Amino acid sequence: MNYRDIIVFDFETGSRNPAKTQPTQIAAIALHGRKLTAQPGGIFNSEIRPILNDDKAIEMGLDPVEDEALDITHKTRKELAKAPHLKTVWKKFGEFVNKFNFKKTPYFAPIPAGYNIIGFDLPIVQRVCEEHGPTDKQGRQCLFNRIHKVDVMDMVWQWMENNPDVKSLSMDSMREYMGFPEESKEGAHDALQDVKDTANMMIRFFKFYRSLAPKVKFEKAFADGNFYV
Amino acid sequence: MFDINDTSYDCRKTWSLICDGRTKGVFQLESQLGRSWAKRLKPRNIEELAALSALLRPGCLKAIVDGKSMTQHYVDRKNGHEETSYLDESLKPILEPTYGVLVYQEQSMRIAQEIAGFNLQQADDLRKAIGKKKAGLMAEVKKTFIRGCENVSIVSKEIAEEIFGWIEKSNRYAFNKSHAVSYAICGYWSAYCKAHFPLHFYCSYLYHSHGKQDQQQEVKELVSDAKMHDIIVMPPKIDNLKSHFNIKDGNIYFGLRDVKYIGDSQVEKVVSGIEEIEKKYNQGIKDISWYRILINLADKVNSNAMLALISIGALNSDYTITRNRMLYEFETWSSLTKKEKDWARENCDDPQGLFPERGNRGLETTLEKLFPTKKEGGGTHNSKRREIVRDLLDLLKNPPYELEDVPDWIATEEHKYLGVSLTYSKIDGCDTGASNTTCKEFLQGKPGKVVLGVEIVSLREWTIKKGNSKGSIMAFLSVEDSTASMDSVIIFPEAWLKNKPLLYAGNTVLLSGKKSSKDTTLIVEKVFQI
Repeated sequence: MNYRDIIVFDFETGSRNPAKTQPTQIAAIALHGRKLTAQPGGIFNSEIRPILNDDKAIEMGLDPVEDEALDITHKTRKELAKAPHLKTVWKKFGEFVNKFNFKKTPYFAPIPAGYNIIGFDLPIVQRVCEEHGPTDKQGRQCLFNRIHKVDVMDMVWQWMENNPDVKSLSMDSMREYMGFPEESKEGAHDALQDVKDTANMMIRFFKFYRSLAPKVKFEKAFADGNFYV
Repeated sequence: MFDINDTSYDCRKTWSLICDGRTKGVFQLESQLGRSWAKRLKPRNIEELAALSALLRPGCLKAIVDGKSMTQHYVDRKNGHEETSYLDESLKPILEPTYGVLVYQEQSMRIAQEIAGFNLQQADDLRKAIGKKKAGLMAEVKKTFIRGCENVSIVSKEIAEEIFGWIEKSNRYAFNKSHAVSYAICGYWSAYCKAHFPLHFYCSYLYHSHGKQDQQQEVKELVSDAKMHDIIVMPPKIDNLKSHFNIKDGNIYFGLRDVKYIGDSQVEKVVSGIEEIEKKYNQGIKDISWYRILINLADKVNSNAMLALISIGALNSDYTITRNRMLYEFETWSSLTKKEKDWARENCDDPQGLFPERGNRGLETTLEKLFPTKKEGGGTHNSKRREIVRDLLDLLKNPPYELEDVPDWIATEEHKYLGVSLTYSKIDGCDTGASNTTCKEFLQGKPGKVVLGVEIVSLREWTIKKGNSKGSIMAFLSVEDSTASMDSVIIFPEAWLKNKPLLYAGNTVLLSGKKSSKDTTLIVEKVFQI
């Protein structure tokens, strides 16, 4: 099978609704698809200036930036007011992602990965792409690969669903459970730290799968006619 | 002045080049097949070289007699591994130069003349009958041939029939000798040029590579072969932007037309753009800063051409700025409006050196001056543009991703735009401390156990069809490092199974193995990820 690079990414945002939230930071780390190592020059990190005027944000159909969200992400309105706007950052992010699309076609676009990206970050990507590009003729984002995506939270769920020691599937719980060092916990909700921790979890799972793969036989798995449903 | 017609046909250097199989670019012998048979046959004169070009044809290679191809018979007999025999001693004078193998159509004609008494017209009819496979004509010629043999009485009727059958079968492979000799002379000439004028040889072959079916592959092979002869091929350089492959200071440089995404019209624009910049600043382009090249050239050529030129390092006037930084600055510059760019050129540059405060500024300083609105003393037209330019400035000061050039990235970009990685190979960015040799050293015959750090360029799986390992899979690899390419790397089934996950095109690995006893094939035993 052809391989593509994987880009683990994460947004920090000003609220919880992916349809209306305003990103305040984006970070990403590009991994070599086969080697699962960080690509040289493969780290992206930028704060994003949201619309800090609540009325203006609402008028534009966006959620105002919540103080609670700022507390969680350790950001202040003053700092964010100095950050570059989403449009400019998004363009740079597009250039960054494109660096790892080695054939420069949508089919070879890097695979998006992250923690809870299917439910949260990818809808934001779609929304921002609709506003600032790139999209295809059908209006679908074409920054990342559209066929494959890796949500590490799903991987965790598949392996931990019956594990009573796991309190929840949140990133913080998993950090605790998997024994990430203190500095990781301190940096929680900084997009870059979250991305690094997510990438480490994902690589651990991938390496495990790859070591198992040659030992598990799926070929003709249903040839004996034994179906579950 | 060198005249090809003055070359002697006994140049030791030229024959060594042919015998060593270093015949990439040599007429008729440049394919992998040609190279490998040249090495095995080791021709030492035009007669043998002509035979080689005839024996390389599919007919000869596929004509199996006593379990071996005609080509192999010839090689074995020439090298003394097989006794030279003749169907009849009377054929010896005709077939001796080709070690008893019927290589040429002219030999069939001479046999017919000698043993069947054919005149030249009849002999030519025989050649035509064989060549055109006309059954009726063939039967007629056969009768004449047998009758002729009986009359001449050099061979018996049985032997005559056997010889005719042999001649008949030779239509699958026998070649025209005059043709083969012409090929051999052209082949010798090109080998002579390669041996004596390698720099011009490679430059010329690279120049004409566009005539090949797969130009990219041709360029790649020529560059790799040039490395073996210590000839360096480089990307276009700012002070040497020519249209085509060219030679400067003992190196070969890519021309702009040989860069992907740069068409003919763009070549002209780049060259005239550079000339204008030199004129404007009254300096050689090498002494002009990247900033000045950017603000003066970026809007004259199209964006794809600029990206290509920057990515291959063709616009580096000095090496204090990375290609990634240049790309980043180009994208930033491209985000400005035409009016902002004009304002920047007017207010942030000083070609005549009259206003030192304007000077030769970098893009960062330019954006700092530009971002306030015109009312505020800057160059933007409204507050919205001011914000955008200020964002660009912030991101220029604090880029969200690293702008270093790493060997792996440079190798990938050069491969994308030039079809071959010139400045670095992907392996240059890897830890190859455990390797004990390079591809070039291996090809030059380094003995013993070897460990090579390489990038896998391509891989071909092969299912074994005979013997104890029937049905098992082995693989043939093409690999390269910065010194050379090797397309003769074999991994047998056991090692293949153990190392399969690491073996894919584009991966960088350490290959541990040994040289095959017959040639410079590497037999891989172990593979390690690097």
